[in-house]
Amino acid sequence: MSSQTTSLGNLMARATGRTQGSSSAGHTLSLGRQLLLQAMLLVIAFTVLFPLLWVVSLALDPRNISRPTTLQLIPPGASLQAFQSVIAQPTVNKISFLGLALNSLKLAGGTAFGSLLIGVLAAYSFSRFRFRGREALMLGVVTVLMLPAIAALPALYVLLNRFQVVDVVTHKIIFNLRDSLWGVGFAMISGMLPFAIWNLKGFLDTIPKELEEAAIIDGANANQVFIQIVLPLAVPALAVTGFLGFMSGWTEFAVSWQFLNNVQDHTLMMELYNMIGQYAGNTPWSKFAAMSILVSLPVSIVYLALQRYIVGGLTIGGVKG
Amino acid sequence: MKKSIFSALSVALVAAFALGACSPAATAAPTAVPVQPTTAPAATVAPAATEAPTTAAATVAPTTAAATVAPTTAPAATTSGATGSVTLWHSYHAGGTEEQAINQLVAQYQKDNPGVTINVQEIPFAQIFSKFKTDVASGGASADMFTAPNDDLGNWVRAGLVAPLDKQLAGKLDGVSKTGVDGVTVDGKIYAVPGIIKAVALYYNKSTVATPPATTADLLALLKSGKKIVLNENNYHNYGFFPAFGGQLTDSTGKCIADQGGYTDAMQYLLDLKAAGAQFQTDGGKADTLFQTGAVDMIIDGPWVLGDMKKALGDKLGVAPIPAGPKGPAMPLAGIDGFYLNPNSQNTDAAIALAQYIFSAKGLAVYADVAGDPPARTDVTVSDPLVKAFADAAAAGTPRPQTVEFGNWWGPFGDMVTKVIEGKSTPADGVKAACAAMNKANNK
Amino acid sequence: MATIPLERAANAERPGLWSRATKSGTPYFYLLPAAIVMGIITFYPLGFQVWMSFTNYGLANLRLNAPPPTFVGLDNYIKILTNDLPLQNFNFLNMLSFNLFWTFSNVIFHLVLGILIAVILNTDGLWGKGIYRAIFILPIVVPQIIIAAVWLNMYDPDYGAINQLLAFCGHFIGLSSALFHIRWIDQIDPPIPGVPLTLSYFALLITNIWLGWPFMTIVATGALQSIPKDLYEAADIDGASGSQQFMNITLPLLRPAMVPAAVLGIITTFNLFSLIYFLSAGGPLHATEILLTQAYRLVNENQLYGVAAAFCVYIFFILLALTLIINRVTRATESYDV
Repeated sequence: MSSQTTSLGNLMARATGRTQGSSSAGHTLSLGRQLLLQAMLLVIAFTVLFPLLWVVSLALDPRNISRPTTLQLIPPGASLQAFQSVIAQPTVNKISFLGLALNSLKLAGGTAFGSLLIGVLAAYSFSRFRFRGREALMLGVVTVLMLPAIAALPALYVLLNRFQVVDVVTHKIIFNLRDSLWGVGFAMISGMLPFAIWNLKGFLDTIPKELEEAAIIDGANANQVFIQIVLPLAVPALAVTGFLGFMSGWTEFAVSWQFLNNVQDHTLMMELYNMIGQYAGNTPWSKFAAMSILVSLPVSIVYLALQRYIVGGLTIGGVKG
Repeated sequence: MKKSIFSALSVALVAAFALGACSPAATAAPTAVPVQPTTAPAATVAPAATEAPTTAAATVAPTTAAATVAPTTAPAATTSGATGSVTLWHSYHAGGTEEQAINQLVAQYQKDNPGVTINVQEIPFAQIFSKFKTDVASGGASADMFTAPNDDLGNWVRAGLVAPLDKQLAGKLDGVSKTGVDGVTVDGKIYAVPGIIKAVALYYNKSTVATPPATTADLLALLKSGKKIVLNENNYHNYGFFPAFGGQLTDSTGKCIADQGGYTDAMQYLLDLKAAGAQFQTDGGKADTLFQTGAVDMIIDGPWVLGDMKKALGDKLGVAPIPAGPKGPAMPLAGIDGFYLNPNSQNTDAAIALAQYIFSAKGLAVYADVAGDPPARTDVTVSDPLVKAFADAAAAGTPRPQTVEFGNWWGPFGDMVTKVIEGKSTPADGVKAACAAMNKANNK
Repeated sequence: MATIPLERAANAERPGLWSRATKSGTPYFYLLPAAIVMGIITFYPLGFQVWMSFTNYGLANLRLNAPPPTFVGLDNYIKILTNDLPLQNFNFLNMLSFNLFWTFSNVIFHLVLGILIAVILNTDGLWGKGIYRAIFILPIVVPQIIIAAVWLNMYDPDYGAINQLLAFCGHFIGLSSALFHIRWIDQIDPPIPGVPLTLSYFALLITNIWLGWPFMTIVATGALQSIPKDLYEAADIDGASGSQQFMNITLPLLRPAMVPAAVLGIITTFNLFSLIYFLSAGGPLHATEILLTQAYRLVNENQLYGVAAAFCVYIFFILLALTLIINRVTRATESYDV
């Protein structure tokens, strides 16, 4: 076993030029090694890109084929028609892409923002203060940490269904919390909040207390310390947690499908499922592929905007020994 | 750490019980208690007696409602003053011809009745039943009505999920065939507006298969001579073979007796077909595509894809009954598509009016032309021989039983078909295990 | 082992200082929103679920003024364990062991691949690092339902890209393409005799590896960049070989960053709902069903809410045990000031 790991280590060392006697600082890579690494990375990039390029190819293909027979990136007669019809109305249900996107945005943005706001307050409390019941409450958070919203779905479904505003005369349900985006949002926060608290607490633990202590010595109270000193320092942590929360909300399917009936409340994931929920032979692949691309864009944009923070934030928690 | 874990957990458990006990406060006297299951009605499989009269369905003398009339002629009688909004769910294939038919009819109705707003929503077939059930059970009326085959009607009636429509439909079902009305009747009450009768039959490609096989032996011979067939790997599409080999599902008490012969022979036959080159697909859409592109010559499927098959194959398309077996003709399950009404709906009159329009003689003529669905009405002439073939196949098929026992057939026997075809189980063992599971579920 | 002086010393308590800034109620005030929200929407439903699990809650009890369900005691729990439900091919222990095996087999691959690729990407003087990094992010930003649909298509026995690729490779070694109509998702018989893992599992594994290593690479990249170069230079001067440097410098210094990432990976993979639900739909005859997808089916398809509640209580305790074990093994939470 150890010889295997050693040879693996050798492989890594040779590949990256870090063999005995080479100084790594500022040393450029020899051409041979460069090409070797480029070859490896190109193969890896190919495996990553292949399915995605295929989606692009399907989205541009006007023939709406279900199974491409040849592997071409730009199919013959490529057109943006699939995109146009998706933006107008993706499936037969009468809601436009924009309507769906707004619903998804409300859900994802709302739950991410909500869990951040509540979570950072709780995380700060756990991180900085010592108070009675702290261990027990932390334990409470940890026990539900791994529990996704789906694992509480029976109870959430039944309970949220009881919040109904009923017209006493006609017995018509005017508002059913379960059958609304609010209900889905609440159900999702039940799963997101513990993780946000735990994650943010971890990050806050790594922020040195000296700045805050200096401020306290200068006469600031806890609130001022929190808002003016800690929050700005915690921005990477907030970015990471917010991004993860947004992504989880944007791609959420199970709870929204179980809860929502009204087409006007549907999210993007639900309409994607509507497209493929039929037999695969009837899936409108061009439209599905076009919609896939459009759906992935916002998350990519958010990621690119927060990239610096995300990469930094993900590793802050780690570099603490 | 350990101690605090235990103490915290015990606190949590106590809290859980306390909370749980408080919340679901028992209401006063229970109100809408679901209908208790009645004793199982008579045996599920003896089909013959009820079928004979309905062969008249397709051959009645032409009335004014000619089959090929375009829907834009005289609109159906409008229900004056119909207002409000009606939400309608369906699970037709997106982009398919059935969806085209219903959209056409709804658009026409909307034009004729501008006071009503109709919302049409499409839900994947695998989900539409559970979504409707939960909608009704939670007291909601997201859907006022939905259309689907009468797959589970018996269970819904017993659970109080559909409203009886005898009053509203009294005297209005004159043009509907008896099978149609029977298909939506449970315990003497009518629970849907019936429209279409569906059963699977054998599609064949006329250019490669000159005469369709009349018996199962013929089909096997055809395969051995090089022709190809694709079959769906489930117990619905292949149901027709079971009676053809003498299989009887239950006795008069509802106990499963399928393992006493017939079913085993039918499954063995399917394995023989497989050995002779038949393909079995779990993906129905893919199976259809194989037939449409000419990769196979035959497929057993239903009239809901007739429109798409016609588009793909044109004149080369032929439809014949499933080949008869050694013990009798094939009797595929014949289901009735109807419009079911949500008991919580606020707009029942408008919903029923819409349903009656869509499944009127004119509406069903559109369905027959555009989608290929045979009407369950006696006053519609079907001129397309392919649609007529499906109507005949349905007329000769087994009406879908609505008993509690049959409801528990689907799971075990669907599993059985998969396992036997995939070679995980011999026909005899598979049928025996399925029967045992079904009896267990039925407490027999 | 080189250690990096960190903020641990700085975080040492200075007694008395903090009490100056905080009134006695401040900690609770900060905690209040979370406590209220979590109390209402996380803990209360869990408690309610425990109650539900002792009843036969079903469709009949959903309505507002519906009759309450009847108490059935431990019936649901026993039925789940003895596989006595009206469901086909339901085997609780198989599902649980599959779920665990699925989780750990995936995370191992993610970690190994992620770290290796991150180390390659971190090489000095490598061209196009930024481009590669941007490309490698893509699997993460595509929703799982889309990935599942695309890969499902790729696994098609007759026209799928995977089989075509294999046939293409097989062509070179003289294998006929008829051999490559592998039914990745539908085949019931396990490919390796004696190992109860269906092809469906391998298909899911390949797809999830494709999906999962970029995250580990991101984390590892960030951590690698913060390892001071002097350490390697010092090791060079001391005569350490490349592999020794990798084993003794790189890996241990990556560990603090990779451990939380691995924990996150374990959590996500154990609960990987969308990919499994849409790619294999639980596999041939529920062979690749995980606890979460089965719980969803109990609610969505079967409307057996009482049974589903008992099932979810099982899930809760299994996840709790997993969390505690992971905590014990990685001491991830102990490094915080609990």
